[in-house]
Amino acid sequence: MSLVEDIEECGWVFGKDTVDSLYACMQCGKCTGSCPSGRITGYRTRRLMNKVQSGDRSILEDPDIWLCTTCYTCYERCPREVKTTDVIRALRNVAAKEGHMSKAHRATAMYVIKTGHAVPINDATKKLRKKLGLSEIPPTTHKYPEALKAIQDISKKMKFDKLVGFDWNTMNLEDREEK
Amino acid sequence: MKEYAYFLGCITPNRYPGIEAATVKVLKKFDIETRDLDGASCCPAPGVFGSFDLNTWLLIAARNVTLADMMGLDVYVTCNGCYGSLQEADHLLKEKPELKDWVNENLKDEGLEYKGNIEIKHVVELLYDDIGIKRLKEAVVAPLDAKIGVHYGCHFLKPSAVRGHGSSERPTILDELVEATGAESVDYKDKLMCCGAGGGVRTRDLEVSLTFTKQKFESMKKAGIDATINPCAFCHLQMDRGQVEIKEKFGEEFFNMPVLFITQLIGLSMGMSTEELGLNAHAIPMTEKFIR
Amino acid sequence: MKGLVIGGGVAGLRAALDIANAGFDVYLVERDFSIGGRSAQIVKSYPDLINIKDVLKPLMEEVYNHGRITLLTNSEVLGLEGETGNFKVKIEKKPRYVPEGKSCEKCIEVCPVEVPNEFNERLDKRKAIFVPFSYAVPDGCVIDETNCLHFKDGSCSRCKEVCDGINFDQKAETIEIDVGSVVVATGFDPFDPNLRPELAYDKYDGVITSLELERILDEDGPTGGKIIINGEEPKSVVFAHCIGSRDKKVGNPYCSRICCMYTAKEAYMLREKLPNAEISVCYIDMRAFGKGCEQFYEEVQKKQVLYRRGVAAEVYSNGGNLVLRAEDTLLSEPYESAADMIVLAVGVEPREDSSELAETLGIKVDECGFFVEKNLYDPVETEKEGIFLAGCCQGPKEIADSIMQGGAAAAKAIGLMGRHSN
Ligand SMILES: Cc1cc2nc3c(=O)[nH]c(=O)nc-3n(C[C@H](O)[C@H](O)[C@H](O)COP(=O)(O)OP(=O)(O)OC[C@H]3O[C@@H](n4cnc5c(N)ncnc54)[C@H](O)[C@@H]3O)c2cc1C
Ligand code: SF4
Ligand code: SF4
Ligand code: SF4
Ligand code: SF4
Repeated sequence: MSLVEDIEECGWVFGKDTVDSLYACMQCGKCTGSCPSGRITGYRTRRLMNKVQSGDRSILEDPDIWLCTTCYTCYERCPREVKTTDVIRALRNVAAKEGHMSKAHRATAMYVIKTGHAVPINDATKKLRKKLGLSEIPPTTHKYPEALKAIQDISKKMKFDKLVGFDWNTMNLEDREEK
Repeated sequence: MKEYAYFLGCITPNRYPGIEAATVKVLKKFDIETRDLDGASCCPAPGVFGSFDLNTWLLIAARNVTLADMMGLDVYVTCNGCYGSLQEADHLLKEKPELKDWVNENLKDEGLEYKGNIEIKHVVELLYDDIGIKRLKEAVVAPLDAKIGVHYGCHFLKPSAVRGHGSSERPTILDELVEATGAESVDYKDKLMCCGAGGGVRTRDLEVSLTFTKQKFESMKKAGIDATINPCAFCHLQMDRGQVEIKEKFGEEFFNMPVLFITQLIGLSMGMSTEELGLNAHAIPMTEKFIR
Repeated sequence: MKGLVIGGGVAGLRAALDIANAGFDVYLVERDFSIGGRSAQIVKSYPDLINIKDVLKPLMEEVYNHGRITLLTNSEVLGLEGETGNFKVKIEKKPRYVPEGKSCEKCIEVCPVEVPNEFNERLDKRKAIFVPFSYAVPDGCVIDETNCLHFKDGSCSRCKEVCDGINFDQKAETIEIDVGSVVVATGFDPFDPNLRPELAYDKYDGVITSLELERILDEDGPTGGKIIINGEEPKSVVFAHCIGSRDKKVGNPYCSRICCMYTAKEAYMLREKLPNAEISVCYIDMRAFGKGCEQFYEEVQKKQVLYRRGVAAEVYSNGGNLVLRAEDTLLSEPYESAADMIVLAVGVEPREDSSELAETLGIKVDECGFFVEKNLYDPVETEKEGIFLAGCCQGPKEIADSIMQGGAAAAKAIGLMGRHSN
């Protein structure tokens, strides 16, 4: 499958048109020129679109694709209405599938599988909640085990656990070489 | 009286419960009742989980929306990330019947069915549309005399075609809310720039992410701003804790600029105390002007 | 049989003259107080830097003095009925209140009302009684009744006190004429850069449009030809291509065709006035396809005008000067360029009311609002027989092409009227 087909598959929730909008990129540079990340890093939005257009799979290994904060500035301004930010998210899905997912990102994902929250509660916050007159434990997956199970079921069904390398025995990440 | 379900997300209840307390209290003063959205989870963050696996992202987001859908209540959020996820998911499900079928097929086992009868709202919309500037002004008992740098964050406004709050280039909604408290909203360079936290950048590359934040604070300092306000728990974390981290990482001068969530600022103007709004639990202490 | 031309820009002027010279009487209806159109706002034309006034002024005067041309300025077409060879057209002719011809301009001195001067792109003010521009045709003062106090509340008649010729009692008239053919040549509007708020046109005085720069470059313009921004001569200038063109976001997916070259021309003229300034141009790709254009582009580059590939992304102020952000797409490097003046090369848009006029005339507009030609073979005809198109109202084009199309439309109109007369 071509790179764009892979992106279409991973980005199917947006629809094919959203991903295919990238073919209309005219390399004007409005995106890079507007990108707060590109100003301080080596990440170049326009070049990413160019590489995807030409089917250059090396882009999947490029750590810079993870430097987009999904701020949507380029998306809003693109004169050809390329759905840049959505293309980037779908492209990252392809990269993740090929194993290019950082340890830190895997850890964030792990917390959701383990607790239902990417940022779970801690003791200090529990104390603060009480002081503020709130329930010590928020009425979320933290409070309802069956809700947490629903999240875990989704993770299994979507093979999200496999994607991030979650070990159900240790309830932790399995060792994996960082690509 | 109006009733909403409150989708908490992660950062608000688990790091900055002051936002939760302030929001519920302020809304209540205006006859808006908040109901728990029992069993909700991480939204999950649109730029993070949406970047890992869009299927998982959509299903978890759809589950959260469906919980409220089944309660028959519109939802509000206090985080642009939550707004981004839930509103985008809801939008996609309303637009694309094939997605709705797919989601319902996968939520069936849990006894959930998405029907699409509710709206996802940002608390800023409740303040601006349900309550309105006029009533907010009337409720001010302790006007703020301060120069405020508004930080909009990204996903509240963008993508504008989905969010529907008009152009993302010149918003005024938060500035109007700030000025309703008596404070002055001061323009600064890169006011609409991202805080740097989103898209998984904070997690993966803290230094890059903090460089955004640092630039914003430098511009705000230059503009003589006393404090910054935001409508997003995640931006809030990035800008409050971030100032400590910036000092640690870059060893630079401490900005020491108070960070307030919009309802915390409004709460102060209505005479609520710094403590009951959770403001004294921030990494950056409040300055004189924000102590009540 | 008589002809009608709507719009007195270069395209309409050429069409009217050609029809008249072929022996047909022709009406020229112009909405403005003067004929000349947008070209009158421009100083020189690329690529050979011809003084537009040298060409346009004689053309305008020839039209004015032509025995077969009835010039109706300050006029608009209200309705059209009938068919080819036999149209009945209703025209509203609004008064100018001051007789045509060279005037003493004492009235201007006494008039208390000041409003932005449209001809100078609102860079300076004019009075409610004014001369449209230095070589306006018809010559002389006119009263703009929407701003004149006499028409607002009757509180003023100072101009009349110094000039007997002024007649406030003139009334608008509706005229009905019979014509065999119609040439539509209503031209274009420049893109409103406020639709791209990130370029901060409304925020900073140093961000101007290319048409404003044309006025600033003009010795007869608001600054007497001096390049002054915020009271000072700019030391650095950045031109930004494709503003409001090639841009689906603002509903203009097309290339405006003229702005690559008019920017080159403006950069050249600016270099002559500012020998030491830094001048650069942000462009997506360079479209210099006309005769002599590529050579002119090279000449401009040699005048040390730096061309950087990549469209202008956004503008902010750092307190002192403006800063333009863009990516140099050849280097793959985002950069910030400090500038005292940023010139937005605004694109060509259909006239705001083009759809209404199309409806009045029974012709079509395309999805961008330009009038639609019949087909490849009949490029100046419309689907409605007897109605022809010329100039920018059909699509963006430069002066030479507008004139050519004016000539072509006239030839078609002449042919048609000739057939009907036999
Ligand atoms: C900044 C700038 C620089 C340029 N520089 C150059 C250059 O160097 N060289 C070059 O070749 N071209 C240049 N151009 C392009 C040039 O201006 C056009 O090619 C030319 O003006 C087109 O002539 P036109 O007759 O089609 O339309 P216009 O000049 O627009 O004239 C149309 C006329 O119709 C009238 N009108 C409009 N609607 C109605 C109506 N409903 N009823 C009656 N009358 C109506 C208008 O008042 C106007 O007088 C430049 C353009 C711009 C914006
Ligand atoms: S702004 Fe759009 S068209 Fe221009 S380079 Fe970026 S993606 Fe391509
Ligand atoms: S969405 Fe990503 S690529 Fe686009 S401007 Fe923001 S950070 Fe840059
Ligand atoms: S009557 Fe009108 S045009 Fe004459 S001086 Fe007064 S305001 Fe000016
Ligand atoms: S002529 Fe040049 S500047 Fe104008 S729209 Fe076309 S490419 Fe852009």
